[in-house]
Amino acid sequence: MKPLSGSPVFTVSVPPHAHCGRTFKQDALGTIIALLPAAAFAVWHYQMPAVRVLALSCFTAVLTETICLYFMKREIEADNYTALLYGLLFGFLIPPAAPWWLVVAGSFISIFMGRMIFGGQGTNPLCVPLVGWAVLTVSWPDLMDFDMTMLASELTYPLSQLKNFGPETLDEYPIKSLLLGFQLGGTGAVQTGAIVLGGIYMLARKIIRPDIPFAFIAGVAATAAIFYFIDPFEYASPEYHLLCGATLFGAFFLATDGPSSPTGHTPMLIYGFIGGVLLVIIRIYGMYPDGVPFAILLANLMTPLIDKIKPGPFGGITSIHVRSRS
Amino acid sequence: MNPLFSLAPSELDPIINTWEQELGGALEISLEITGFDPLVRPNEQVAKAQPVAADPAGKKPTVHSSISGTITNVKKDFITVREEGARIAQPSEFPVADSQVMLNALRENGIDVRGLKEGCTLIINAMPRELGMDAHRILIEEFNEIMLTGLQYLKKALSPNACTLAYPGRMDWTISGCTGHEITPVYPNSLPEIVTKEVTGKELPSEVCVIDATTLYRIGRTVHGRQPVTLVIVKIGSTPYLTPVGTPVGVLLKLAGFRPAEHDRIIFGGPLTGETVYSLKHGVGPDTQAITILRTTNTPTVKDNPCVGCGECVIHCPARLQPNMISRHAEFGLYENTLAYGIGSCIECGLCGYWCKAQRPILQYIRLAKKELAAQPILEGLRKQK
Repeated sequence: MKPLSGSPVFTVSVPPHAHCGRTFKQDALGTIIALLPAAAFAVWHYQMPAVRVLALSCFTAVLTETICLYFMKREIEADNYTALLYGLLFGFLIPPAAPWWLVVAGSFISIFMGRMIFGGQGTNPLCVPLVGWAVLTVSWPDLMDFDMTMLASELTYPLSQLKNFGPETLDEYPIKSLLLGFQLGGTGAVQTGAIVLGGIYMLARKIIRPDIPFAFIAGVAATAAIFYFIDPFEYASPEYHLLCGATLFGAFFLATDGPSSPTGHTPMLIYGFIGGVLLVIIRIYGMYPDGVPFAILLANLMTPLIDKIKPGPFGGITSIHVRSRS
Repeated sequence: MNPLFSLAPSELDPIINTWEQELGGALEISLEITGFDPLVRPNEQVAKAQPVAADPAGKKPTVHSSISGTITNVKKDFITVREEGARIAQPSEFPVADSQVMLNALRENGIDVRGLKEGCTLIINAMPRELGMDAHRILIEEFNEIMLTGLQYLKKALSPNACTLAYPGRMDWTISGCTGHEITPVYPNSLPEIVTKEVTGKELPSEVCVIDATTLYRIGRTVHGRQPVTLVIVKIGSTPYLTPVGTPVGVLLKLAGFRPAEHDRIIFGGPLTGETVYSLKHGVGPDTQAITILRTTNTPTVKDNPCVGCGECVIHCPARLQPNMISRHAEFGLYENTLAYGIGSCIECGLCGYWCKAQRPILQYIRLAKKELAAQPILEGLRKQK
């Protein structure tokens, strides 16, 4: 640009001219970093199959988004890491021994039906990776069943043990081994200890607010405690509900997804709590061993309703004409 | 706490009078007259404090030349005057009469009196509007009797039922005849709507008028000197400059030793609610309190990203609105829908855009919707309330 009358060219912007410096792109990158410990644990437990699932899922997600954006005649936005993040989250949910076409199909469905069909970035009404997970679970229940696909593994799936043989089987799983990820489940989702580390990292970096995860955990703990109090021999204790399966992964990484969760402190707390309650109810009464994905999907569907809970506006002005700025 | 939101007044450097400085040639001021009718022609000689442009609708304050000189240019948006001679306009009269006459006398002498109503509760807002906009502490601490003159005139004009000075906590500012009210010095506690809430405990009550401490000083100076105020205190960095209204920003920046670079932002006001200017020739207005310069850095700038639903704007909104939803509707021209989200309560603090992770121009979307809605016909009943 040529200078006007010898003076430098200034930037003219709309207020506010200052910005807090945080962008969703940094947050997506931060979330991926928070997922890395769990990914490392997954590789430690399952070696190459885990690497294969995560890499394939990430690759398919980014590719799907790029192709969709190309056909939508929009700018390619793979550089904001959100598609990569959703691909990684999807990879965390499925069994490490899943066939390649299942991973590709699930990752594609997640991005295409969960995200791009609604208009891309920021528009998804449901948590993106859960859409693909739900379609796969309903369509190929055998392949998504951790016990069936992971027969070669020495590890067992505590939630199906709980469902089929009752809570006394959970005594085989000491808390420490659950935290270290000695249980079957989604590739990265059951690396509970590493997930907690990632969650703390995200809270410390203020990538997520504590409202949703803590309300979710409180919902799980409270509901599980009620059932445990009713009959300790019939129902598992709250700590097993928290540490088995994808509970904490859901609390920190899936329920906190921006577009599909409500805004404001009270709605966030209500949403998280509902998700936690639904999780335990599905685990106890549902046909699926782990209720995390369906609980969060149902809570996502309630988001527009929960968002209606809001305080009245300042001064309760309903017309633009009443006030003129002094 | 975020230092950007601190409103605690700082220690000021000694005040600098620009006319005592070497400016390198005659001063040429630029007065903004957008929407006004010019009262002068090019090459006409004007006296200091002579009116040069007036609002045809009779609402906005008249613009006066702040120096004695020759009109060099009259454009749709500005008038430029080159300094020459030492003529001074005739003093004006300030009769003690009814409210309308007294307020109109102020308006014709360059004071914005819109929003002042008879019989209201008067709040004098001495909060620095934003970080660094605290040069008015000189007025309160050293020119208290001028403020008092202004207050006495306003009291006669408005006969308010109560009068309160709202000032940042831990300061000992007083104006006699006013009760004091301490306010926590954190943004957005300086905006008139929040100050009103803090003082009266009510949200947007109709019977309250908020007047800025600087405006009160200008009223006092106008009535005392029987002439429009031609000088304004503009703070750059930590130095206040006393300068004629309309002094080009380039002159002030040069005095402050600041060399602007490409793509810097020069803001009249603070970083959250100020206005950027595109030229160094832009003159400071009678209500300019500070000039903020934002260097080009890698801080995120406004983009047309979609809302990503993080909810930061909702959590930080002092008016308890949902800026995310308002901006989504305004973005696609659905202005009517924004009323249901309480857009009328927005106090334009700019915090939504400050915290927006998607770098959306949320405040601008809100302003657009407000403007479009205000342009629509309204019911007569609402018009009367105004």
